[in-house]
Amino acid sequence: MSSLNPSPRTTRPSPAVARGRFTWFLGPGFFLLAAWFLFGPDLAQVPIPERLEVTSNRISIKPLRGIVGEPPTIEIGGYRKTCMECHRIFLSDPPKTHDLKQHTHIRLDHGPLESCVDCHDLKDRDRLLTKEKEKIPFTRSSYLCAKCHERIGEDWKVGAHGKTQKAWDPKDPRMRRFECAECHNPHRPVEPAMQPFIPLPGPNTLRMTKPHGTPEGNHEVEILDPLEKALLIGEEKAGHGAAHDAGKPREGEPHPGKGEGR
Amino acid sequence: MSASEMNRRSFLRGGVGAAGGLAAFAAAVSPLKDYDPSELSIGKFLQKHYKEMTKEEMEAALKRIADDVERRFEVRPHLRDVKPMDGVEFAYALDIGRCIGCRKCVHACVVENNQSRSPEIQYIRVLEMPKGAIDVEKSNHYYDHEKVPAPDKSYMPVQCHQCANPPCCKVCPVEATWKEPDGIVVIDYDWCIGCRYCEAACPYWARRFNFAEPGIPKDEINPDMAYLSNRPRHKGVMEKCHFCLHRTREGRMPACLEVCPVGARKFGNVLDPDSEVHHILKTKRIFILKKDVGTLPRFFYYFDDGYGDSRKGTGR
Repeated sequence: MSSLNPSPRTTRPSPAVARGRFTWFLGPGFFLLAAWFLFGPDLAQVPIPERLEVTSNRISIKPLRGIVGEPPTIEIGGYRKTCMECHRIFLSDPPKTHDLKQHTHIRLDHGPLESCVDCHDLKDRDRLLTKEKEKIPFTRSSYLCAKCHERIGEDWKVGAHGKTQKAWDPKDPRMRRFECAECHNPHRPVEPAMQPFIPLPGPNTLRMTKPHGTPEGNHEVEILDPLEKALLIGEEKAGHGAAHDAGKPREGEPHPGKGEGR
Repeated sequence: MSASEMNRRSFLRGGVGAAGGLAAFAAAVSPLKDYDPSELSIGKFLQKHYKEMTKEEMEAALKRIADDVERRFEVRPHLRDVKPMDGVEFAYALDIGRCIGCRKCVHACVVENNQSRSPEIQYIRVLEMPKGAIDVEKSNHYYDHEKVPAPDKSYMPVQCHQCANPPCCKVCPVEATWKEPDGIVVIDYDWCIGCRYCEAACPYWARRFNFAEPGIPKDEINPDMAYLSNRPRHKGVMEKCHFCLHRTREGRMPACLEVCPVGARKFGNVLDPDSEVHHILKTKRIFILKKDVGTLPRFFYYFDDGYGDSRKGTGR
């Protein structure tokens, strides 16, 4: 300060003393600032986006379809019955595939198979029966499937197809491999094993801009690659398309294979 | 003016300087006002690196951490230190054609591994790409369709690849992250200094940082915990997928695999010729993400073609 104001100390009120009238509040001001730092509100709050709830039933580890156990039981009229408890009386021989009075939810549409007894044992309804007259319990039904679906059955046996749960070591007794019928409908395998369904929520972290492909934005991905742009424009000149700017997602233009579901 | 002389000007100057210094000091120490003295513990301060702890020291550390978890979440955890199994090297395989992008794996992982719900931390990122080519440049993991799989889209979940040549471990200045004998890359959350070098080094964008104190509802804590895996973390440390080592080192499957509705995820011991992954790696077409960066990942994508699309019911 004094270097800026090299006035000699004299009796007349110097500018420094005059400034002193205003500098007195600096000390208390800093004290207030210190108190505010210590006891005041937080200077920076980490902004935290809202939490998206996911209910536990949406991450269930159960198989898609339930299968009958061993012995196989079915609920009829509020009672759990094994197959033979009824079929000892109702022989239904030969069983009808169409126009069923019981098991009306079943519609057989399985390639060349035309009758129930192609897979089910006519005499012992608690069992399945292979073409070689080998009886198979319902809990091991995949071995019956593999009689025809040989190649995929081989993959299933080693775990490349299907799903294995509980343990990764094939020697571990806890290991459980889903049977074919726990995903696929054995009576109507043409039915997709899985229907499209609502996805669980995606990342909800804070971000600076809306990324391409957000619900607000266009689902098409913007083309950034200059090489790709150049190639697209070349195609248009050749008369393959009529879009004016290749850099933006093109709308209303037929995309190969984009017709369904849009 | 002599130094010993105290006049109005020097008093003011000194006073202003002292007050400024005090204010600066107060600003510097003000984060301490959020410090909970109950977190203060000599044991935590003196705890050694995971690899240097004796059995007794590990027991003491586990007890201290279990107490800390109980104080924070009012749940007594089953906390232990699970060691790798002999003769086991894990590998993960994912059928890229089968994934439908439902994100069940993402949320099963969050629940299993006590990840922060708010702010959000997720280990798995499901990339959605135009069908036909694996082009991560054109991928989007914020997709929000009414139904999945969306037409003409393919999905690729990405998580820690547990590389055999992990760049994240090379850059860690304090060796808080390393590769275990069974191939899993782990983090000692008590040794991490939060520098985030590993996050920058990872080519798979697999590491996550706790920018704030993790927010987990008390009733959603998974008490099945291990030191190197899913014990609750604190603010300022890194975390990432560890192949659910508290489950897999006890023979169980990872949580993401258990929940997958299409059976796209396969896990096992790559050294065992009877295991699922061994068979897949030998017989299927394998895709390695960013193979050219030389990280030698333990996470493989495979194509199981030739059967038709099971989702459309055209499979044989």
